[in-house]
Amino acid sequence: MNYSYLLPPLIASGFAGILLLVVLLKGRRSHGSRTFSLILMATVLLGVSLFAMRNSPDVDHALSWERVALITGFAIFPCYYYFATSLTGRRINRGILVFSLFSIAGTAGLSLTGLFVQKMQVESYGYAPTMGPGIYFLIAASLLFAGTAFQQLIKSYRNSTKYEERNRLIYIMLALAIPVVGLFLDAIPTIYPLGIFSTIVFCILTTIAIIKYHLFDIHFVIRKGIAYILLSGLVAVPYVVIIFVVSRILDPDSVSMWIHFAILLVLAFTIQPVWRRVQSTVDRLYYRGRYDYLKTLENFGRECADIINIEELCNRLVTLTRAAMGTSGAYLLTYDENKDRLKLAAGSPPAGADEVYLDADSAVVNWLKKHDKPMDANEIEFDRTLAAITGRETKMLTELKAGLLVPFRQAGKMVGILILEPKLNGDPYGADDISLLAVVARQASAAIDNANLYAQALRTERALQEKTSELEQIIYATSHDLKSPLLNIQGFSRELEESLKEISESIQQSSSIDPKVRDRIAHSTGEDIHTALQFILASTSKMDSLLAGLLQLSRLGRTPLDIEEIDMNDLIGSIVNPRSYRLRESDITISVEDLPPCMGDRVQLDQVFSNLIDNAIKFLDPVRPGRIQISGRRTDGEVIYCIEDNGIGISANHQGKIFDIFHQLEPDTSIGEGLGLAIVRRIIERHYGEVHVQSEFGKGSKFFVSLPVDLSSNMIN
Amino acid sequence: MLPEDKYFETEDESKIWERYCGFLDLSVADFMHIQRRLLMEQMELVSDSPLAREIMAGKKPKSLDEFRNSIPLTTYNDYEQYLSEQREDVLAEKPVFWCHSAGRGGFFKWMPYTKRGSEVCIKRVMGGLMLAGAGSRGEVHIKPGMRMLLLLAPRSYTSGMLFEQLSKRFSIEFIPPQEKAEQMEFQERIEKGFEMALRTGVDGIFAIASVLGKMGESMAERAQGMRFSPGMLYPPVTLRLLRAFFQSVVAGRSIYPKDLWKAKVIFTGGTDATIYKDQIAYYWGKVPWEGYGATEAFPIAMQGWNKKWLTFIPDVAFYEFIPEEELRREKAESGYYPSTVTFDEVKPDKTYEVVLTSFYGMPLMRYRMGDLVTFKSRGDSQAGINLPQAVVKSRIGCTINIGGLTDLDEKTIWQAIANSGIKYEDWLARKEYDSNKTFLSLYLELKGDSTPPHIESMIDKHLREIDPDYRDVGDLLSQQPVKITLLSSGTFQRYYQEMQKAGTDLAHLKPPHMNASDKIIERVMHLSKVDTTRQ
Repeated sequence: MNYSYLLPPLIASGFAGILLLVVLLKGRRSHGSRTFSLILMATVLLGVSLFAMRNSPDVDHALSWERVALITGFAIFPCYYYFATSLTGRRINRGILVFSLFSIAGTAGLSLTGLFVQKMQVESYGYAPTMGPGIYFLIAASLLFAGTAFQQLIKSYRNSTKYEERNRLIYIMLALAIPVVGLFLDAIPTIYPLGIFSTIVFCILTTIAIIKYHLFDIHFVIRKGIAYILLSGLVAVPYVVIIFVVSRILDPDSVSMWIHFAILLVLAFTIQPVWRRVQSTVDRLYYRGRYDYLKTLENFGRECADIINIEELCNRLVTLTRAAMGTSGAYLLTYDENKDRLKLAAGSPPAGADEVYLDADSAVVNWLKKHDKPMDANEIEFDRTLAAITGRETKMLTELKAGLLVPFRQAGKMVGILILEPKLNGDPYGADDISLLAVVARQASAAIDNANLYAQALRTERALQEKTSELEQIIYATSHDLKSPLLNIQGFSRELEESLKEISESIQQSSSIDPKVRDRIAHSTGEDIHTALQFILASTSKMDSLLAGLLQLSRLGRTPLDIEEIDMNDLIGSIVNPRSYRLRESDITISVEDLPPCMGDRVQLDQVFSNLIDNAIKFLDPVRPGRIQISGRRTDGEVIYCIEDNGIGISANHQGKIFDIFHQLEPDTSIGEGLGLAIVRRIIERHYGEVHVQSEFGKGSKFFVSLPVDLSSNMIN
Repeated sequence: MLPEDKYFETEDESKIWERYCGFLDLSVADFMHIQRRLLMEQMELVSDSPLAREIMAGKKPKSLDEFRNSIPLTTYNDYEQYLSEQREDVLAEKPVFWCHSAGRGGFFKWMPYTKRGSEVCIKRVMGGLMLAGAGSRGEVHIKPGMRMLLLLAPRSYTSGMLFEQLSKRFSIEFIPPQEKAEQMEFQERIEKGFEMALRTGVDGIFAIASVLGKMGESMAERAQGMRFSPGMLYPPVTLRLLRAFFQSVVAGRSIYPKDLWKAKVIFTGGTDATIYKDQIAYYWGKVPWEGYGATEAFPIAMQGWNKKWLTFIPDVAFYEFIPEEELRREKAESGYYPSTVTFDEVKPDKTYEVVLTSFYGMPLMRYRMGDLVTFKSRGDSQAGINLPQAVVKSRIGCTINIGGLTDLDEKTIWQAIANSGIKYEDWLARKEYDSNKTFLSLYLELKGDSTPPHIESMIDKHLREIDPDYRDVGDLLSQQPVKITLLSSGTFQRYYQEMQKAGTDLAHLKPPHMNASDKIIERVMHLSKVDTTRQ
């Protein structure tokens, strides 16, 4: 018994039977699934009748079964037509309906004659029919049904904008084409009957496509197929060439099994790397677009990570996305807190910013928030909640030719929406695009949020600067205006003192005044009034110092800095030298190491280091010889200077406050107004540097000043 | 390809269902979001138009509360001087068409429809078509090219205009075609429609429920005495008649319309739709679907696939509702201004007057529809709807108050007559006085020759069953509060012909069922006496 001849119809029949059950039990109940069930039923019958034909004891029995197979085989074609019609949602053509019924009935009736199958003959593989003249009618009718079905599928394919649906339709068209070819080959008796195999393939492909639309990606099959064909070529060609060469050189009979074995062994070793290479080449060709995407993604990730300017970031994003997706336009809307809406931040090509916005409460924004995935603009026509979309929003999206809307969300907030026009090549956005956009959206959301925070910080800083400047103006004006009355008080107090002195002398010299009275007046003028005047003068003097300090502090913020490279050895020398006599007298040793240069305003840094050195001298411990050490070093990006002393040190609770304005370590005994270190900090901050202290009470202090090495006037002013 | 056809070409059933009927799956919160957004858009659109400025007294509300507090309730009188003259210069947006009501109140109410307004309206009518044909959720039985028997008013009437608009957006074949139908009288149009339908078949029917009910009944009666005509030899007609004949023989009855046509969709409207529901299902083989709409906004609410209660449509107009208690207080206290509730505030088993504000640049603001609706439930679990479900109760002023205890509406009286099983042609009802007692006076024309005994008692019995308040009146007054005057055979037909001869408009060919004027009653009584064979 020839199993390879007998079994295929049974396999096909069994396969179709199982699939029929699957479709009926698991499939979505629809007109499409019902008509597909008809095809499967006809396939079951076809398999059974072909098996019976092939298993017939003689040609007469075989002829009878062949006629049954012919009817069922022909009936499959009208079923194809109905299947395609219901799948594409088209109306059944009444003419075709009537024709199909008549032709099936006619075929059934006339098959008893020799019109379609005249007789059966025995070929090498088994029974084969000798066709009659009517077979041409059946072929023409079958082509009509199959052609109409194809036409409808192609039309639907063209109309469809959905990637998955188009993919499914390609699948079904491919599945239909295989049995059409196979069944026609069956009509040629000299060729082994392939129709039943093609029917099996059809059943598998269409059932999978119908039950699970997304199970297979047809492009995946093609991609793998190309790789296998190339690999086969790569393996077969050298194999044939080697065998050919060997058989030419040697006697063909001498090409033993060993040679074949040796070649196969070599191929076995080389096939794995060759396979990888081939697959990689095919992938590169096939996924060229996706490679571009990945490149884009990589670029975007790298570029956007460093962009903190929101405008630049948005422009970069729309340009990159537009190029990556191959669309004619991309627009980015970002959240505007002041107006509680998402407004146009960047567009490629540019669009009118005033009209392009979506309210935070818009139906579109709500949809994107709720679903947290890109929205096909067509969804507006279908989704129930999008009935809330306003005319202005619809018009805006229409004018932007919106095809896809991608939400940018960060920590539950909607930070932006990317609106993409349809692709230039007309393809709909597929799963790959959506995945890529999801990654871009995640990255961009974080980048936009960061840029927004940065912009907000800048705004806050700017506001603070404005306030500080305002305050400095007030301090300056107040200090300046207080100066004149203060000078008057000082001047008149001195004049009073002079006058008092003269009065005291005159009274002392006068003999006409009662001595008792004179003593009393002398006591008042010489002690009470004089002391009061001394207090007034001391206070005005202190007030004068304070005002001078405040004026200096306010001027600091307003004076433009002249940044230059400063030779710090020179600068510290110019500060220390004038104080050398005093230092020697007070038994204070000051040592200066070789200092690295820095960038800064010479006058202001002079002030900084003068204040620090004076402070070090001022707070030396009188019980031990004073020692001050000035050092400096350059690190990565900054220069750090240290002024170290062995003075009285600063208790821990004071260390955090010493740079505050008017703060004094010992208010009752200290000389000065508590402005020196405040001025130091203000100057260093203007230089984008830092100042801090390390100190141990009773042992001494270290003041560190760090300054950036790449400072320039442009940065500051 | 027409705009709506493309969805049927390219989308699957679930998407099509979502587009047209998806609103049934909204939550109350989503419904209100749609209402609020579109209302605020409407304020932006219309606030600068002369008509809106007049109504809104120059205000431009920025929120729903502001809207409800600052804009007064309006009636058609507030718009009449502009709308009755179709003044487009006072509107916010140029309309694409104007249509008018049936004019039962004695005059036509004209209403402009903007482009967007019209598109949304058509989209929802499509939803109605789909629901009318569906036997379960998600079933789509309509598709481009379907043939619909059209038994509605001609163009410039709202229904005529809307179905014309429908045919511009969706491939639909009207039987008879609208242009031809408009050249014919209503009766002729019906006859022509059925004649054509016999040849071509129909996929659905758009009709006034009472007309369809009566047609079913009269076709069944006429079929018993059916005579041969040459038109029957036309093969499709022959086949249709043969099939119907066999079906009727098997069922042991005369030929019913359902034997001749298998309508997938029966789309009806009118206050009487509920009364004729069973009759239509019996003769036409399909439970009719009802919608609630008016010239001012269409459709306002529609039944789900189970054809049970009405669900309001969120994107046609903004809805407010005046509770019944507020209406009573308004009636009792002169100058009282009733308050309203929004859709999310309505309560089951409460009756409200519908107040609506147009969307899409159309003109009505807080407009009192004069229709009373009763909310039956917070949702419909059978249909999977989670929105308040309503029924239309009656029109304000179209009721007859008996003894100060009951307000009988048209539907109640109609239902009582129908439940009594009396075969009738038509009827009129109004309140009359006998010495110092009030009673419901019913003028009834019976069908056929026999007069059933105790008609008054039968009607009274059924009124008592339907309306408990009516029962209380009867018990309290110890009398039967209904009196019947039988009209002679053909009275209404004669009235109809007389009006037709006088060139009366279609809407006034028939006398109103409720509260007809003395003049009409006198005329009807006069016509009844012309043929006294059955008095």
